[in-house]
Amino acid sequence: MSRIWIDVEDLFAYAMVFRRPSGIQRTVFEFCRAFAEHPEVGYLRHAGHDGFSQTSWRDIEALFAQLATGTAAAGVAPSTAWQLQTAALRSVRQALAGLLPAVSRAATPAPFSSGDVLLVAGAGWDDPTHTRRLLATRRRFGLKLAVLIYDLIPLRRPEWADPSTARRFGHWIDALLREADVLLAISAATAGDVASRRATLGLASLPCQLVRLGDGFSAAEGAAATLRVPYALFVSTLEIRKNHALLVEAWRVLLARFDPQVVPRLVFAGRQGPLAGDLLTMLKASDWLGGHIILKQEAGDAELAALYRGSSFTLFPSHYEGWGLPVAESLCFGKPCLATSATSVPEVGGALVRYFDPLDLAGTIAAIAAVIAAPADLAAWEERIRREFRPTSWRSTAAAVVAAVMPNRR
Amino acid sequence: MRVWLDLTGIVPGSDAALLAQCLAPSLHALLGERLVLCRREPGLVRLEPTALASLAAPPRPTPRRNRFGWVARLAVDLPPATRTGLRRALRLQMAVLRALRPIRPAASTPAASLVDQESPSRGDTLLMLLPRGDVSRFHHAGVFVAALLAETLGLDRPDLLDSRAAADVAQWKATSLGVTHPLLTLGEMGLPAAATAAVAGARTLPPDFVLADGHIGMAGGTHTLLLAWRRLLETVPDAVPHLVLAGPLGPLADDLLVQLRNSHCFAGAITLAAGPSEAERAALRRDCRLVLELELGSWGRAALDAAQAGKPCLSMAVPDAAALAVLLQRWLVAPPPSRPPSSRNWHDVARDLAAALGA
Repeated sequence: MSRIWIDVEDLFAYAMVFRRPSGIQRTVFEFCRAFAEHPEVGYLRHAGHDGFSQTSWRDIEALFAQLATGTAAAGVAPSTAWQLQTAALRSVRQALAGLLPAVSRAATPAPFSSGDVLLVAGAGWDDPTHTRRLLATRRRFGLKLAVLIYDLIPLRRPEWADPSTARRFGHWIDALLREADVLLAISAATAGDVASRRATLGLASLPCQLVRLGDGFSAAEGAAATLRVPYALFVSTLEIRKNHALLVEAWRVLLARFDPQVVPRLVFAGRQGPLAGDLLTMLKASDWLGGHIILKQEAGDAELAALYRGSSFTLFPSHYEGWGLPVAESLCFGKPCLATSATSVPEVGGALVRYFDPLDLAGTIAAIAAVIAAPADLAAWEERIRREFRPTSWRSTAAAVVAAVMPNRR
Repeated sequence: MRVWLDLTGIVPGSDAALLAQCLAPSLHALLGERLVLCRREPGLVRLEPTALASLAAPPRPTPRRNRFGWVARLAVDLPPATRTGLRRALRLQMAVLRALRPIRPAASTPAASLVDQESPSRGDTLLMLLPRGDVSRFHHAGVFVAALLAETLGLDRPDLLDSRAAADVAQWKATSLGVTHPLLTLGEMGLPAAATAAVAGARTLPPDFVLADGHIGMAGGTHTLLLAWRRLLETVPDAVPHLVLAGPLGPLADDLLVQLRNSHCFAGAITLAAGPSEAERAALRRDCRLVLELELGSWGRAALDAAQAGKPCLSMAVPDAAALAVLLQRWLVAPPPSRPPSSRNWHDVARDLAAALGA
């Protein structure tokens, strides 16, 4: 029987640097969890110069338990010079420790068979040896290469990516677009970007099969609400692409236009990412709009779930997405969401979400003001979500991936 | 009775700096030795007239070449966990260095032009061009405190200033606003266009470009402009000319500069001319198709200069990037006719100001 092998090395590399998972890591983890029921699926870590070794679902689960509770190796976000220096030395120690397992894993190669599928479902571009490793292994064992593509943002919007990251991503995705036997995309918007990139590379058209991601994550239950005041929630890494600045300006206007008592607090839940420094400086200088904006930087899964449950509604103004997981999460928690109309997000929310142009401050303010001014309408919207929303399970997502990469499997 | 023109906190190349440079000679022509240039430390320190020259725009930083490319080349074959760990360590180490010293040197007027320290006499006037710090003690000592503000941004949106300037503005509002009389803004005075030097050789630019003139940073609305420009490049690429961002780097510009660096200035669609000289600015105005005024809450200098050069000028005082993109598209595709402004000279301004001060 042919098997599907999922490369999960980037999950382990990510956990060395960050305490909390972001979208791709959550998605890969949910994939792996759903695939755990499929005996034909195995998991891979990198070993030696260009090989792979097999790892277990248990190892991945243990790693993600650390990420979900914020106890992964990366430690607290440092701020003072002393904390930064301590964190720098700790990173050097972890980096050197990372050399040993890679050497020892080389001794236990994965048991590939001809016809197996090598599935790239993670963020491998940070490793410049990744494509060389994939292609060498494919050639050596006669494997089929399948790639699940989340987005092409570093190519579409290079201004938001570090140049070295954008360059590595470009080399990585271009190599995979040339070599892949099966291409999967998580949205029609991403599939469109892929088609456009393949055309730029002069490649023949290769249909990109759409895989709808599961809705929501396996969140911890039972956490109590963390805020006692009405609030709107925006879950996302703090970075310029996510467009927090639009909501800050919207709240500034709303607070001037309405009685501040009726304007809900705005909660940003997410770690600080790239290109957020100026916004944070501005927010600190404004005393977080007099305390109306609240930042939750290190919320674990349980707290995040509690934040969703306790929110009045959610917001998602991102400029560019491959999918839009927070929109799906919001619906899973039965919460109305006002979201960007850009790229893939309308595919996630459909008719259950209200949309605005992420550059249109006036339109955004009008949409938020309408929600604030009409509690009955908000309640009816919430009721409609409860009635009509049918979440996609990660199990069905996994089944769709298996069907796409192994069309002849029965 | 003397008028002490206060240069405290004025950043070289800023609007306030240009105002001081243009206004001081005309005031001197009217008041003679009764005009004293000064700064507060905290008493008033008399400055030489050469202090005005030091307020000119600082020279542009030269681009640095990457001296550590060989490190990146060596690192590519390390295991990813090791490489990411080392990269994080390097970033943290750089953050340590940044935490230990400020990113940009604090603006100050040069010590070389300092000549002596003396107290203003009762009945003298302290004229401020920026609302900064506590000057109430001068009022209590019988000095008239007056202000001609080059910008009101600090009063409306102190969060768009750097933290030190914001604190100085807050202190001024708390302690000195009530004792400042007259409090004039440039809108009330009606100022002429800035005097500009002879046109110098322009940069190598495409023949058709739009000039964004003013402060580069959040306070200039530059982030909004970039978003609008990206939309135009996506929606009407054939109608979009080159964009030149020209002006001093204001506060809250770091993320903007990183975006320009990351994207190689939007794949060559944008040129950044940080800290241009007046001659360069004049040359850019002369050759551009349209001027965008990168100022929020300031005195409209770019608009006046553009009008003087016979160029239409759009203000960034639009609600958002979507509206700006619509406005820009209309002007780029079919610009409506614009009318020339009325003009004044600096001597008239100095005369009106002296009259307002009773000097």
